[in-house]
Amino acid sequence: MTAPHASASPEHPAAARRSLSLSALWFGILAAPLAWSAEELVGYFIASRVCNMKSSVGSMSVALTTSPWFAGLSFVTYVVAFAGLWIAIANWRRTREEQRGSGHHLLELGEGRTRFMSMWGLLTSIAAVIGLVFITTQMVAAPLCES
Amino acid sequence: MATDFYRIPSITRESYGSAVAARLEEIWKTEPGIKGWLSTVDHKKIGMRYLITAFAFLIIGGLEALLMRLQLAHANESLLSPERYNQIFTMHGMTMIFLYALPILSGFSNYLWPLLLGSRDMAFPRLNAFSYWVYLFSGVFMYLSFFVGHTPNAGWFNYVPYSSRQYDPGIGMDIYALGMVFFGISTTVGSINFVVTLLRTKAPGMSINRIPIMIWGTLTASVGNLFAVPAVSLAFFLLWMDRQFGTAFYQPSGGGHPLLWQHLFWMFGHPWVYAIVLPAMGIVSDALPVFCRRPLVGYTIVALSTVLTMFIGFGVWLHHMFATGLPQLPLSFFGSASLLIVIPSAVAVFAWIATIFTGRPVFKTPFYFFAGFVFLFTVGGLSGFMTAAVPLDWQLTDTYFVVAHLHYVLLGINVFPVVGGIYFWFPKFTGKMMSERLGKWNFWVMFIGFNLGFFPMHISGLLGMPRRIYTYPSGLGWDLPNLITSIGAFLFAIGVLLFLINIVISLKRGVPAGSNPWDASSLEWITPSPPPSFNFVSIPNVATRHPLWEDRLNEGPERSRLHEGMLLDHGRETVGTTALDGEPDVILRMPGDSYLPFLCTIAMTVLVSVASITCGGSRAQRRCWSSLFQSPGYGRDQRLFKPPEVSMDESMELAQRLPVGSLGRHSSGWWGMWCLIATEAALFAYLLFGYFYLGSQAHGGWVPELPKLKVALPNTILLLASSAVVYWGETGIRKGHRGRLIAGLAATLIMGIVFVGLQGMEWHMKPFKMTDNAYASSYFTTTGFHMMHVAAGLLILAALLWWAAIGKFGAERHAAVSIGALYWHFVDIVWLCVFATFYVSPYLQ
Repeated sequence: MTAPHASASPEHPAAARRSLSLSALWFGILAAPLAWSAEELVGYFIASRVCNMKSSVGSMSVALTTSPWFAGLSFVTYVVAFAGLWIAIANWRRTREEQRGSGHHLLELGEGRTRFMSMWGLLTSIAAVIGLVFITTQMVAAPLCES
Repeated sequence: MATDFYRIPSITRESYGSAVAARLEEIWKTEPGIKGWLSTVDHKKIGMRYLITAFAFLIIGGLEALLMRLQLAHANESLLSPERYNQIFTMHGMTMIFLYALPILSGFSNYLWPLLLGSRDMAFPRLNAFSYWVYLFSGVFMYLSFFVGHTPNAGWFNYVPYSSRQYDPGIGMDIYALGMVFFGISTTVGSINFVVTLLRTKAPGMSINRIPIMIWGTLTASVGNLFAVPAVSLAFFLLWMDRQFGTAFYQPSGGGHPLLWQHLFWMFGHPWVYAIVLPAMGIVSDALPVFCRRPLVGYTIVALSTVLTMFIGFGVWLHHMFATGLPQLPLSFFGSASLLIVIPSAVAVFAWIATIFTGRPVFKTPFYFFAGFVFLFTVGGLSGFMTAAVPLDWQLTDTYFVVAHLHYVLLGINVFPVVGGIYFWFPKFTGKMMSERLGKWNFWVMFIGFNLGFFPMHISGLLGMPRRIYTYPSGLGWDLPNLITSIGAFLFAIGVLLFLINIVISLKRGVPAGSNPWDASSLEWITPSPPPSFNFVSIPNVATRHPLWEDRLNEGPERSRLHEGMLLDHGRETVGTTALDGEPDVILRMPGDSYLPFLCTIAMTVLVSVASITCGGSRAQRRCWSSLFQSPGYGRDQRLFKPPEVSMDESMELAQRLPVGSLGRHSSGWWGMWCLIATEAALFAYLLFGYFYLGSQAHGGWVPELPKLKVALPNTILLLASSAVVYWGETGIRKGHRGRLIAGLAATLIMGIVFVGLQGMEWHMKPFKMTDNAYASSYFTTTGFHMMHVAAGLLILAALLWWAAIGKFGAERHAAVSIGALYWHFVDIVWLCVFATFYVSPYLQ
């Protein structure tokens, strides 16, 4: 049995909480950063495996041209990251009503919790996509196994 | 429905001098004398102990540093022998990084969190006391090595093979290893307490976008610790196993690899660096704006940058291993991550500068320390940014440049905010102001001493001086920078001495502070200085991020209700709220003072001391554990008080009926169990990482023979089936079917015992011993760890079965069943991972 909630404050801190789901907010925050993490850690694992068999791979080869695993990993992580970014943008738009003032107000004074989380999602997704671009650049440009 | 499971809390507007406050004091006060000293669970007393103990360790570590600086002040100095120098720098690093840097911040957080959050205590008060005692005893334990003649001497990061038995046979290394496992327990339970405190005990209305940045900092550090500390505990435990029992994790001759140590250590080490700076950055983010007379610029983005720093921090451990001959592509991955981490750090720096620039700075002593911190953070951050570049790191690694960077980061970002934070909150802690004049002298001496001491280390490093050398020849250009460094170190020490003198003088002759001497904006400043044992007469209702500045900022029409709210005086009680929005959803009953945290620590200290002959927990220890997690609803020594007559007013309509104690699935214990599962899952992940890492380094023949599935497969199916059975029992009690719960628990217990028996048979049938090679070490250690978890799960199931039999559970109150079942599911899922790794993956090779 659940008990009715008492009022928390004169106004609920998340006025827009019913307009979008919590899972959408968390997906917007976490999907792209987790994709970036997977790209980095799984990429490290694949590189270690490939370089253990160095005789079959030229030491100066670049990753994307030597192992389909890298290409597959990049494809999956980009899909997840862009899905996260897309959801984050949608969350940001959907919580517009919770905003009391401009973006300046959100940064300094504080508004609704939902708006706060959607802004986090937007920022983490953009940062993670930039991180992914970094890693892809390295896969194209950096030698794979030379140490 | 039992009516005492629910209550409508009274609303009060009483002040601190009222009869209601006196009654709350009677409920929450700690007994005077040694009895109270050993048994208190008051977060303020525990926080103060953390602060004092950590500062004592800072002084000890500082004296060790001064000894080293005397030795290095001139070329060819002979004050310390090479052996003693190695011991001193090892103990200095261990002391500063483990025994000072995080515990001092835990001191602030323990004292301040409930005050900042508008609560009456932490979520698990006894666990809080336990965490402190374990920290104290682990520190003393590690320092005992000085008295047994074998002090650790392989540096604070203790690389294998220097620390292996072959090269370091004394007991000192074992003391360090077990001491670190011991210390890890303190850190982990403390972290769980912080996380659950945030999730459960915020004031009504305090949603996650309204909590102070210091809370974000400590929360992030705590979550980080839950995932990072198992790596170092495991690394030290495996080292101890190698040294004591001859396992082969780090021994190349047995198929192990020394680099496994570096991986495990730095998987912990880098997040730890952030754990010991993020709460300090939070101190600055909250206190600096007070002296700028405006809110922090960019709260949302600073809070996010705090979290992101830790998140990225888990993906940069390899940059400590750039010089170990790894393939170039991963180096570039981790190099780019190390560059990326600068962004959130820089965001915070720009936010602080913008806050100062757009505010109206008041030049009080805390402001000096915070502004000085911003400068030192920038210098330390820039030198860290440089070492993220692989080619430059190859040149700088193991030189004094890295020592300079480390000290700018750890001293600059930790000690300066800490000292500034003490100047800031000293009035709240003691009711007295610190001397401003002495404070400014204190700052300038420390600031000049710090830069004089540590900046020349950059030069020494660039001139090629390696770290950890006990002396050097003259004529290499190192003489002058080293002399300046030593002078700066002593000047810095004088600064610290001035700080201590200021504390002593201010305690005796300080001007009375009043409740809010700085005109600050957060909740702790509405309490008297020092705060009473119960913190708040009524639990405040929060409507904005700056409850005490609402009229000034005029953000909107809403106003917090700071002196009107729930009374909660039926014993030690506080309100439990929802994790994200701070909606009241339960009245939490808090446990009283107890000797058990102290006694439990004594028992653990004895256990660690005789670890080589004692493997299982004693009955007394098990009792300790069950007591420590007593919180909401489980206090047996609740001092119940008759509800007082309180005048009702119009705000009464805000209060609705709330469950009391641990009703519902999402009790504090449920959240605590999730935290425990997170950290235990990390432990197993590191174990399995070790397995795959060592396998990847073996050149053929890693698995001696394909594992037989004849016993393991049915045993796995049995364990997984037991999860379904316990779930069946748990869903039964939710509907009020006590018989179904008893049957489910009994069946699960039997299935678990059968699993243990079959696993024992499996061990017996193995054709190898634990010490034969790295594979065998990994197999027996991992399955052994799992078996310990199964044993713990069986004990929990047995206790639940007993409680179910005597009628403790019903449809309304069954949180313990949900928590126990959760743990059992975890044990089963872990086995699935272990089974897939050890029994299935060899077939996929």
